[in-house]
Amino acid sequence: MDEFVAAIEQYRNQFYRFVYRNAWDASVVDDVFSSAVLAAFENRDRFTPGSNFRAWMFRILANKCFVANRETLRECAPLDDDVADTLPALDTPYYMAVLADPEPFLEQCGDEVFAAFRKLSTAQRMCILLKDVERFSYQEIADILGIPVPTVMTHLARGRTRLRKELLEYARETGIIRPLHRPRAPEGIDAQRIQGSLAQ
Amino acid sequence: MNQPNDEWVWTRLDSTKPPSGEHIGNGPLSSEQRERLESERRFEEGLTNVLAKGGECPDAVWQAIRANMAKREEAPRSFLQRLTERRMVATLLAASVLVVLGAVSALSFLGVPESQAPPAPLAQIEALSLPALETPAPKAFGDHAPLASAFKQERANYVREKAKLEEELAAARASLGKLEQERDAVVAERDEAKTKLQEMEQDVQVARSQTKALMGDLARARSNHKALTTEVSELRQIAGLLGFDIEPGSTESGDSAAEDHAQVLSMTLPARAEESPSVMALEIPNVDSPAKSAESGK
Repeated sequence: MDEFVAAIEQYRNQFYRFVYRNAWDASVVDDVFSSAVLAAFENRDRFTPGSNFRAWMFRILANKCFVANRETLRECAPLDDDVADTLPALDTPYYMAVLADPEPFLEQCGDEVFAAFRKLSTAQRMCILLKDVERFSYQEIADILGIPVPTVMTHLARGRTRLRKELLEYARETGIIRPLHRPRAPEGIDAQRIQGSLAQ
Repeated sequence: MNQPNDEWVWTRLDSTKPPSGEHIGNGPLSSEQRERLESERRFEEGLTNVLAKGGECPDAVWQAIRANMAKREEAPRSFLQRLTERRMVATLLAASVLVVLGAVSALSFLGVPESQAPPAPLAQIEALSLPALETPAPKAFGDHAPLASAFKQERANYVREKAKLEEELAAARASLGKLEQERDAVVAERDEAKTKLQEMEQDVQVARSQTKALMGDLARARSNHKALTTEVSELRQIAGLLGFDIEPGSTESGDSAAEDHAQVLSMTLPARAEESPSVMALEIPNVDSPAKSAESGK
């Protein structure tokens, strides 16, 4: 038991954060985390020694989160997963301005990042967290969530795109950023030739 | 960004190939793409840092979980032990009762003589002290002769019933054999009748063809007779013209021949053989042979 508790305690903040970020209902986070850890404790004999303990725990945590969110979904309106496709494209001057200096933009967004993150589907959230925060590979994420690798990549791409678009919408509405227009060379002038002559 | 052409950004960002298997991200990047990728990487790292902040597990929650784990670590063993003990006791009791009852019933059905039948099972039943066995009539259990006699009687009844049923079975089998023989005889008769019927049909066909031939002959004879009669009358006329007087019926054939001749000529001839009532009225079972049927056709 001591060994199991030590292993859990080593990563407990990561595990708890995973539930905290994925649970739609914040009031059930403690219960979901507790039930996941206790379920792992009762089934610790099934864990193969030498395999990835974190991946094994994240699989249990992900299942518990899915179950909890399914219960929440019965009471709340379902999220629209296709919103990302209807939003405007990212190659806009606003996004170019964000990409030019992303750190201050994210600092200015503050908690809006979490608000935008909560708008993603559970699978998208899990994929982003497991990939970016927990640094799992695509295959490990696929094993944890029980889905194919291409599906993981799709969830990641859609989740990241939607997250960016949500933040851009917020930034445009609040005026945090201004569009960045790249200068274009006038017609009839060869920009490369001018740059070459300037270099000489 | 979420279009397939932008896939290279995420695959480069995660340093993996795209799901389609194309080597979009393996080639050298242009300066613009490199700049974009670097910006996306910084953006993603910034997002990751934000998402990785906060959400630490509260100590109270962790302590509660540890306490719960400790409680479960201790509780299951005692509970399982208790459960196992209860199950074992119940299983032993049920097994002993079943063994005793099985032994008693086996002895009774096998009809073991009283001298060989061990009284131990009945003693065990008494030892069980079940409410039903505590009621009066304990003498029956002390000496199980009534039970044995009853079972013997039952066995004798069974033997009698068995013998009776075997007799009935043998009778039924015998009657079945007789019925099968009768059935075979009937089948043979039927086959024979079929054969006879086919022969009769063939006879009728032959008779009909012969009747047709005879009718043709008769028609030809009549036409010949008519021609001859005409010739005779002409010859008589010629003879009259020549001065000879030839009277009718003065031929060498005589009177009886003339009568037969007139009778034949007076016969009514059917137009077709099928219209002959004597032929068509033939009944197949009455036909004995082709020759007779031909005669009746005439």
